[in-house]
Amino acid sequence: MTTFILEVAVLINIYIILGVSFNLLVGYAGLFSVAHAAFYGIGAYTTALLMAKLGVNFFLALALAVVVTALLSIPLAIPSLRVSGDYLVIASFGFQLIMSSVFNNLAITGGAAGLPGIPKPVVFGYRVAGSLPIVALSLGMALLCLGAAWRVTTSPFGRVLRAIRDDEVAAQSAGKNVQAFKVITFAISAAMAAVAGGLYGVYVGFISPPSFAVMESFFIFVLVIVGGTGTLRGSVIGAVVLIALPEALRFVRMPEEVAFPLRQILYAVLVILFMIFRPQGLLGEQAPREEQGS
Amino acid sequence: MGLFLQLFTDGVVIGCVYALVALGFVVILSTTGIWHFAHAAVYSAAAYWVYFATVERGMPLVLAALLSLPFAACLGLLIDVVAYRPLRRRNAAPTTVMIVSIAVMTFLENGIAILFGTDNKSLGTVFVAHGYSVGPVVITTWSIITLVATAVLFVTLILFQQRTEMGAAMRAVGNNADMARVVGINVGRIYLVAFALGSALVAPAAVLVSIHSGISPTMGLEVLLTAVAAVIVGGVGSIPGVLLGGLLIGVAGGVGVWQIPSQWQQAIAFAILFLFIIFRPTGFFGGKVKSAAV
Repeated sequence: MTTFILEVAVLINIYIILGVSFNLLVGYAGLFSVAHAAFYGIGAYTTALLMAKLGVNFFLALALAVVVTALLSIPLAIPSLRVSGDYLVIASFGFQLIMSSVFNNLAITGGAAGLPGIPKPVVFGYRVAGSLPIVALSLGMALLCLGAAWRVTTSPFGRVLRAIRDDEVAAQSAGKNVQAFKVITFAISAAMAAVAGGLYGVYVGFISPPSFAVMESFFIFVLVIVGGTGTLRGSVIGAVVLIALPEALRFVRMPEEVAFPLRQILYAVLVILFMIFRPQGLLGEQAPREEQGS
Repeated sequence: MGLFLQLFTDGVVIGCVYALVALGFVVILSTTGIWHFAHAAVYSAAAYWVYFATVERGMPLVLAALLSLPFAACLGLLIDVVAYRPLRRRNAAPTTVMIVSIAVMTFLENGIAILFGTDNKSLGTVFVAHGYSVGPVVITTWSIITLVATAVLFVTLILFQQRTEMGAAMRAVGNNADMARVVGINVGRIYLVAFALGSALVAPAAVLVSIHSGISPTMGLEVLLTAVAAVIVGGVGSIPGVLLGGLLIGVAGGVGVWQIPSQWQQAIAFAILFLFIIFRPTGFFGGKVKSAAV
């Protein structure tokens, strides 16, 4: 039982990182995408491959994965400079499916069978195995990402992001380089997703393409919407609620082939209800104040 | 050369399937401005209806195929009334509606998975696999039916849009719903017509594909995304553009197999989509773009 709770705690930490980083993109910069799981996957595969095939230390591998993922976010950032709204969602759909296809078909990723044998991380000569140390490691990473995200959103940088979200033309005419802000936000958001991916790989010890497929992107989306876009606390709560809730339902005995679709249906219903009745999410701001002023 | 011609022909036929799926989608998009991703689930549902009626209840295939039209139409109407109408009443942003449509798709696909299981199922009909040699190229009965169905449906729909009063009303609502209301068009009713007609139009493609390659609950999403790519490549809102976009993507994927392993076919389609979104978001027949500021 204790082990079970600790394992859920690791997942919650990973999804806090994913939710917070995705919220930077959706909630603060207003850039809607369904490709976050692709970045999560790029981070996971890069970290895992570096550790398993080249024997690189966990932190170095993670740092390299962060850089690689941030660079690979540029192809998706480019359409965001040209189009917005619906078109960006579609471009991100395309990006997500291309990456899924890469995870599935590249020889080095192990294809559909997945990539087993990811070693446990070694921190200052101490091998992080077992539940408690992993919880500590993931909690540390989650706090680090939360802190970074908090820094980003409360800085002048974050203020400009919200300005772009609410009125891109106004931000531009105020002399802000909107293009650069979007590219950097994509890079930060993707880099954090890579951290989550690296953690997930060493935690489970095995990764395979379905963990980073389009439905996973949708789940991250749901988590942010339920918690509330544009609020970091909301994403933390969204992660806790949406991970803990189905885990609790696990005690109701049900075959997995029914339980999995049932969970997806639950998420879908949550999104529809929230979008109709409480679009700002659990902790969202009522409406951007800027809008009333203009 | 013979191989090339064969791949080209196969590409044209697959392109017709994409165009057929995109046709209903674009009727809904150009009239209501909704990126109706749940169209993918209507497609899956129509295919499962045919499976249920013929394999599990012993209905003749032709009858089940004909009944799939009203079945899909009703499902489309239901989605509009239950999910989109409450959002319209609250003046929700286009992106919000799009997110809800993705949620509705998830809901329906997983509903199908619970009812029928996630495994691939075959309709067990092989009569359409008979091939005819035309010079160096072999064409099956199935391909001929697909080509004829595509030609008939596209011509009918273009005539419907250009020559009938209802078609004119739909174009009017698509151009400017408020203005249409002013001249006495019942906009709510036109929306219902668009959803019924658009959803019914997905049924022929669903039936053809399920006969050819069997069914699974998630069969809709990838086909739909490719169809959406066809819509964007052809130019949003243009019906001839949809056909051209579908054929281009089908042929590129088909001929691509000549040089590139076939598992990358999907990636090729989305790479084309990506390039179009970056360099020419209005597509070949760049026309009215309703909901997004490109």
